[in-house]
Amino acid sequence: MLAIENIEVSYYHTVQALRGLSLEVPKGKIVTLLGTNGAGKTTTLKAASNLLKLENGDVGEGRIHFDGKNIKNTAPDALVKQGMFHVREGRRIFAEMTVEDNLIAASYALDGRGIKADFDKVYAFFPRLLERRKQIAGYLSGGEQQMLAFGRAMVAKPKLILMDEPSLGLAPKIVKEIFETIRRLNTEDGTSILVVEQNAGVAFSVADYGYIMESGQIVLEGDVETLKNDKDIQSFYLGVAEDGSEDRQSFRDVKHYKRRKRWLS
Amino acid sequence: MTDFRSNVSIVSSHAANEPTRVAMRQKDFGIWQEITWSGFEDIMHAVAAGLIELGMQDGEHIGILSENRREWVLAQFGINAAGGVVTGMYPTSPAPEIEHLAGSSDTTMLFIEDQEQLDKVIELRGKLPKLRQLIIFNPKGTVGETELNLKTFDEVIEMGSKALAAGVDKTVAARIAAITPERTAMMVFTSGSTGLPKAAEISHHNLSVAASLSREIFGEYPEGTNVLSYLPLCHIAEQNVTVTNALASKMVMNFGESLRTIIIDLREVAPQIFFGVPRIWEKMRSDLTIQAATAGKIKGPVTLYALKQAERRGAIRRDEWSVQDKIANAFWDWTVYRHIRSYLGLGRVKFAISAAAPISEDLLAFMRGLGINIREAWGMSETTGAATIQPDWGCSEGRVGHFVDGVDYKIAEDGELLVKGGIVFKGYYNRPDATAETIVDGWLHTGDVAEACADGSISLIDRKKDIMINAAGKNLSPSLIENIMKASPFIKECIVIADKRPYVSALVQIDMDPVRLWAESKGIAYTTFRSLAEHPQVVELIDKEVAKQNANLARVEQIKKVHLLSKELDHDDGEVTATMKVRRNKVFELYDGQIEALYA
Repeated sequence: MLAIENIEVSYYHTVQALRGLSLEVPKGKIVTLLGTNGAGKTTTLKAASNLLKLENGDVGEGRIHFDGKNIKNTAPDALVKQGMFHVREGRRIFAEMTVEDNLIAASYALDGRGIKADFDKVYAFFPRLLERRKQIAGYLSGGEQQMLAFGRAMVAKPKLILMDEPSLGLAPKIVKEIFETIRRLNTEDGTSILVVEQNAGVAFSVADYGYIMESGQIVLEGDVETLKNDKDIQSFYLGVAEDGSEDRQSFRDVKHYKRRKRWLS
Repeated sequence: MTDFRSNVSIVSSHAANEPTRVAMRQKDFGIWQEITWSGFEDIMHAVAAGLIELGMQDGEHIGILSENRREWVLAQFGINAAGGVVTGMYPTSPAPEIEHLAGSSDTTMLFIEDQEQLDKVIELRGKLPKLRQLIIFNPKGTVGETELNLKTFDEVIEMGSKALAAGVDKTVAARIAAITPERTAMMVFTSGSTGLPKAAEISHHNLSVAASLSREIFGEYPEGTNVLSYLPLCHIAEQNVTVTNALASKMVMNFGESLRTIIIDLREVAPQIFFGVPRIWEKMRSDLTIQAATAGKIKGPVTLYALKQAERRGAIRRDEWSVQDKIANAFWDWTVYRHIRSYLGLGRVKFAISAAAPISEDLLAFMRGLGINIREAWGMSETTGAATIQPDWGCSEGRVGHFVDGVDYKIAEDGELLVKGGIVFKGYYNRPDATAETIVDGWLHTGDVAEACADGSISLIDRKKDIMINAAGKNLSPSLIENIMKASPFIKECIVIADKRPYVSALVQIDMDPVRLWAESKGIAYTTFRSLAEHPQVVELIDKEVAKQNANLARVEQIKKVHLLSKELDHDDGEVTATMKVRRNKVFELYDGQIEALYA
């Protein structure tokens, strides 16, 4: 579905964010991309949806194929019509418009595809949005805004959704709900999903395959079962206690020194 | 030869003659903090008194387990001043290795750097019965910890200062006076590439002779010349370049913020003398080549051309340069090379040393072509550091240059290099068997096979133990073959297999950065080191590189098959030593399956 090959991205021609990054999202799969702050996860998504030019970023080398076609010269809005939807970090809904107007705005992505917008499906997934259909979106709670952002993606009937930190700033219960929706959308509609996360635990609960990135490069990849059992992942991403017990690592035992990451595959 | 002076008394005489001269600098939160020679002496005495207060007896073995920082050297001299023997250990060593180092050297007190090292010692609880005291340099994260009566370095200095005022100064003076030439000053662990590391005992006499030879080896430099200490201080070469030099010529020891900031620290210090192991020089070349290859449309090709020229000219001895060479060098030096030197932090370097492992000839040529006066030296723990060095710009026939005066050498019938002189160590601690094998009739059997050249200089062939005999009975030198292979920018590590085999094969570790760039230029997608190393086109690339380098080898030496390692060799996995020397036996054991496949 999405294939990124060796891309190098720099901002303002000086700050290099990605150094030869490759990854692949197979059709109908959920793939997660994990990494620390500043590793380049968001940049990777922006490169895939061709938004980099708006932020003085530039893909210097490498290729990105969506659905078998090189997207180099495809405008971001055209990509949406071709079936790629990017749910950006921090929701980015139209705060001054109502919930329904937000969904209507998303339905422009269907122009020329001969499909009718299906708001009812969104409301079936998220009954809360139905209740607040006529309310100004800016007054929704954080969790509801994330639902709306997700709902907008559903309206556009994408083949691939890029999700940037859907768990950001949300209560654990809401996070669980959002990820259940991700899984449902994937199993019911066969939508492929690339989800960027800091919360490795929830990302692994839905994903099939994972990539770990660090300073602009992939350092480890594998299917989720393998990753879950990797020692480095357990200690740096999942907070499993080092003595191997079921308990989570106590903050008391966290070392101030930098433990070495090996990333052996 | 000069009269005996202990390292402790040299510090005191510098402190008496020039109390306000800077002895060392430590970068701390971005500021270079200085310690003068008199300050150095005060702390040395305070640490000694503090150790005595903690119950240290004359002649005890005190360990230091830390990265390079000024406390390392301060502790080292404090231990010596209290009559102790310094046992330095690699901070990168995993706990089981620390157990061997501290256990086999009978270390009773241990200076540790921080929480990371403390955790290793805690892991070894109950396994080091002789260890009774810990002193920590950086107590962050260890407050309230009482393992082995843990004290901070500052507490020990404070305790010592009070004790000095209360009369312990007489004890310290007596201990210093009791330092005689034959007593052991420090133990240096051998690298352990063939077995467990052995503790080589270096006497005060050895250090004193090394200090008097240092002017001949390193040359005459004005007082205040800067050296940057960044290679492990428990290694004899670093002790040589930093500590011995500082004592002999009042040079300034500089300690950077940490190993991770070393590139910036190097630019700031811009030392006049720089010591690098081959790996450091390899890294510099590969970084430069990549920077040049990815630079702008004009800058890139011009720099690449200049670098190519540098390598060509550098291969010619500087005293044999033609007029054209000299003119071209002057031009490129002014336009390109001097900027590269400044960028590397080597803008003021008068001379640089490469030692501790064999280095490829191309790499030396490259650095010399850039205007870095790099000289290869040879020495070992057992010779208290450097024993031979090349003249300026490497103008000698032999690869490791000439022996310094006062050191005798001969080459035995089997080619082994034998050395005699004041720098030859006392013996291995608690290993009379190993000592008897190594020192025979006063001659140190170095274990290196060497060759004398017509101009009296020396070239090394290989370690005697490493020489392999193939199935046809032919002697082969693995490091010769490996170094020729490593001249390829894509090959970082090469381990040759030939012993009792019909043909030569090798395990190869690719150099990630150049191979990455190459893969990108060919449009090969990859994600991690492993995916790159296992890519068929990369395998093909390395096969081609090996074939190309094979042209420089005799037929029997040529590598017929290679296996690419899917991970980098690592100290943590026991594949290399703390100084990144390959442990052949261990590697052969770990990769047995892959090796057998090469002969299937």
